[in-house]
Amino acid sequence: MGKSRTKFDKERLTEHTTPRISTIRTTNYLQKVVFLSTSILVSVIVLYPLGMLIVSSFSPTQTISDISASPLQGYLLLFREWELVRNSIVIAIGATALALTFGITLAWILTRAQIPFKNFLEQLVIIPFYMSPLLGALGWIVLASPGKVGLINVVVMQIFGLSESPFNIYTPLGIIWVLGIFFTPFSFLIISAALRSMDPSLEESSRVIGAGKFRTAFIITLPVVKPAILNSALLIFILSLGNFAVPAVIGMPQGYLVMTTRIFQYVSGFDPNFSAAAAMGISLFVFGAIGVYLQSALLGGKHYTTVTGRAFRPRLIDVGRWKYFLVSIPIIYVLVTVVLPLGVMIWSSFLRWTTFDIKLAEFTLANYHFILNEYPITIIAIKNSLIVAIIGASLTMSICFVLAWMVQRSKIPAVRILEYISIIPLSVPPMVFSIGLLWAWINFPLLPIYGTLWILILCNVTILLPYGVRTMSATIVQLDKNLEECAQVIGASWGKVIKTVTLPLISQGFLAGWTLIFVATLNELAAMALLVTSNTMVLSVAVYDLFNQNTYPNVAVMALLQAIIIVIVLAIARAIGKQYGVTSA
Amino acid sequence: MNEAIDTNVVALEINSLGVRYGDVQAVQDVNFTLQKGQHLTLVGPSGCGKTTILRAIAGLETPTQGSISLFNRTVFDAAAGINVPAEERELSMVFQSYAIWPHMTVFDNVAYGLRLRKVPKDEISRRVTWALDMVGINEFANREAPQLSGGQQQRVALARSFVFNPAILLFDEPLSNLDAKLRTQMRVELKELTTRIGITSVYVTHDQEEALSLSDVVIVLDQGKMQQLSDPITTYFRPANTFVSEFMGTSNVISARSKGPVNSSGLSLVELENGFEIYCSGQLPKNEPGIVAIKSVHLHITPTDPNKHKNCWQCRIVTRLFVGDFVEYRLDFDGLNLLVRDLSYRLFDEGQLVYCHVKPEHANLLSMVQ
Repeated sequence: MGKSRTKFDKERLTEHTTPRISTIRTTNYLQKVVFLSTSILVSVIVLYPLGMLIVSSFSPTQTISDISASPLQGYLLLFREWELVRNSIVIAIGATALALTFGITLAWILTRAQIPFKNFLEQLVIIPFYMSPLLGALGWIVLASPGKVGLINVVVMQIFGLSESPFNIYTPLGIIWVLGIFFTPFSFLIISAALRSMDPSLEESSRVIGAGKFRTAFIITLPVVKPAILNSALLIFILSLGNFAVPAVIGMPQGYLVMTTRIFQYVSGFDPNFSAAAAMGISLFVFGAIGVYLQSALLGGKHYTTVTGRAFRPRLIDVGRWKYFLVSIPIIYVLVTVVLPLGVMIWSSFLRWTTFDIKLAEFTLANYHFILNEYPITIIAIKNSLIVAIIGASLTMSICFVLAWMVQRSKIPAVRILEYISIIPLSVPPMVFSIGLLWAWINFPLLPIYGTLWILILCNVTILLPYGVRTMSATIVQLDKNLEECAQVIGASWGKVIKTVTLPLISQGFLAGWTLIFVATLNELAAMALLVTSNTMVLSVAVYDLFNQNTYPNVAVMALLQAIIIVIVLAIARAIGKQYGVTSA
Repeated sequence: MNEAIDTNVVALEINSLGVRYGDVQAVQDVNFTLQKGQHLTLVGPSGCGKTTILRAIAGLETPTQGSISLFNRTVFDAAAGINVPAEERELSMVFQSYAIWPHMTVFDNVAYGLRLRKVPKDEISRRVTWALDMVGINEFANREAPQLSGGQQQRVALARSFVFNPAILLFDEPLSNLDAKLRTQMRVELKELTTRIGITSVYVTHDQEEALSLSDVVIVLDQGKMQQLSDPITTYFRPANTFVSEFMGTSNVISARSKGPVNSSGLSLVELENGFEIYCSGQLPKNEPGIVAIKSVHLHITPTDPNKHKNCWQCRIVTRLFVGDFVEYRLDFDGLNLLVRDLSYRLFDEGQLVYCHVKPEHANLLSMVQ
């Protein structure tokens, strides 16, 4: 093979032909220890709080006299408040339908149609993914307040000369609207990924036979991506069912309750009733579990679609004059989810009180001064949020990396069970989980973590496990198994393979997952609302507390602070990703 | 002949190896031994279990039955519960996808095995240079791996595999991702290289040409079972059954009935299904039905009767497929269809009456029982 056969080669040859028998001796203790401890940790953090939740639902609270004797007290209360169940389901179905409609439309436009600024718009429409629905709700209560308060109402009334305000955010429809537009990125991401991995010849053959562009979209494209649609539908349904922020900001002040807001009242009110909260939480969990079950039944056992495999470059459809209409849809979407809500909050943050009448507006920096310098909670909340999110994201991703590696690479049968356990939190609304955690740790003497940041970290790690496992699984699946096997055959122990081959090659995916978990942790309100104490206050709860006690401009400043931190972290992550980016073959 | 073979040292011994995935028996009852310095090839169609056997030797797959030992050290024994992890077997492997680590330079890729073995730094660079020299890509040592072409990546994978002097080198279809021309070239280079470094190797391929040209021993596999174990020439000329016959080259397979041996020549007289008689190699009891297998390149066509041959019949050319270097004819031999591959130095026409003959040693009488 080589051109030169030097003397040196010949000398070496003799040595090289004598096989040395095993110079390497590794006992794979590391792998066993890591696998075992991860398995135990994951099982405990998921199953223990859930078990406690079930126990607590049957433990009546003594303070309520009338039905205190019955262990079913919590469940009996649930029957009295069946209209909350109805509200929750109506809201969840409405939000899902809306998010799907937007998601499918945006996905089709941005993957198939020939429109200007496509790549740029694609980046824009997923921004709400990183914003919390709380921010959205806070923005929209100003945008669509009834009367001459809401910006949209003011504008529409002026243009059309109406005397009555046409929009009122303080309705069930308002809650559906905000949830729907903020969960749209979930359906958009899943469906557009499916559209991209779809063989374009399926569509082309339909066109060749003579079906039109839009007809093809309906009779060929839509059915092919049906699994992705169902997948995202159930995810959004569960997310909407468990959301607390939006119904808390829009519904609760008007007395319109859903299950999550009622649980919050049960736990944090003057007359706490844990068993009722737990019973309601369990029924929420049951609805979530039914959703997950339906999902896997409809998708024939695959409980999630990993978006991998061949990436096709679909031929873009020339939509002619339609392109102006089609390009306006993502623009309007970004306007209503990002630009308008953030805009009104920025505007309000500089005003003494919220108004859109320029003559009445009194500009001031007092709100910023108050939040940053006077309000004692701000600094604590920022510090705590950063600690919880950084440690939480790092822990989650480390656990999920091991878990995903076990799922994708090891042949141990029990790993399937572990995978199911790690997916369970997907069907448990975060707030429900936090009740379980409260019960689990409030009186647990061995590990006194209640009232510390650790319980917040633990809660976030658990509820975000499914997302971390998904991103890590998708990354590891794409990594050629032979790359690791080759190192192993050459003589590298498991730890060495992971350190020198796997981790360097998945660092991009790890970072992306870390960022996602970081943002989700920072934005988490439902789970944190019941767990924080005054010492462990975090930003999302601080915003919500402020909303209940203070003026809107101050709330706006605090909410913007949360958004700015996220933007900074995203920018840093992006820079790191670019710098240490590995070009994989 | 391969000079490096040392018949006193058994490099690899496999006994009644079986691999089962759930209900699927992927590999069944595989037995063989390999002497030090020998090149063995496992060949068969996709799904025949060849890669599974290779991965079982490497320690990447856990068999369900049998045992594997390397240089008299048992690395796997299902009954005794021995399973030495892959990293302790002192083997090396070249993968179909090359598995070049994209985050390392060519040098780092090759040096990996040496660094694991704590080889001193200057020795590492000497050995890496030597290995890269052997595969002829020393000038690329400092390149990032993804910048290399397929053929170059292949060479890096090779250098990486033998640089640390492994006991046995395993090849998993290493040439299948290269284009046809490069594949032929690499085949020659690979043969030279493995001979020169005198290593014991196990090679997996679905390509019969690679199997025959690269090895001392060929094992033909089908459906997880060994069909034949012999040297390349025997495998080709004396297939053990119709599967091997059809897999190694294009064969005509004709139903027949033995009429018993001819003298003590080792030949049999056989009646073909169209009633004609043929002299074949191989023996079957008289009147027992069997199969006659003749490679399409072993049938010769002449325009006139050559007179001197046994096994010579008049046939009509039904179709002609002109391929270039050779021509494929489909002949009608009194109701029997014969496929003949002839060199293209002369051409026959469709419909033409020709004489077709085959040497008795090229017609193999095989048993119906596989």
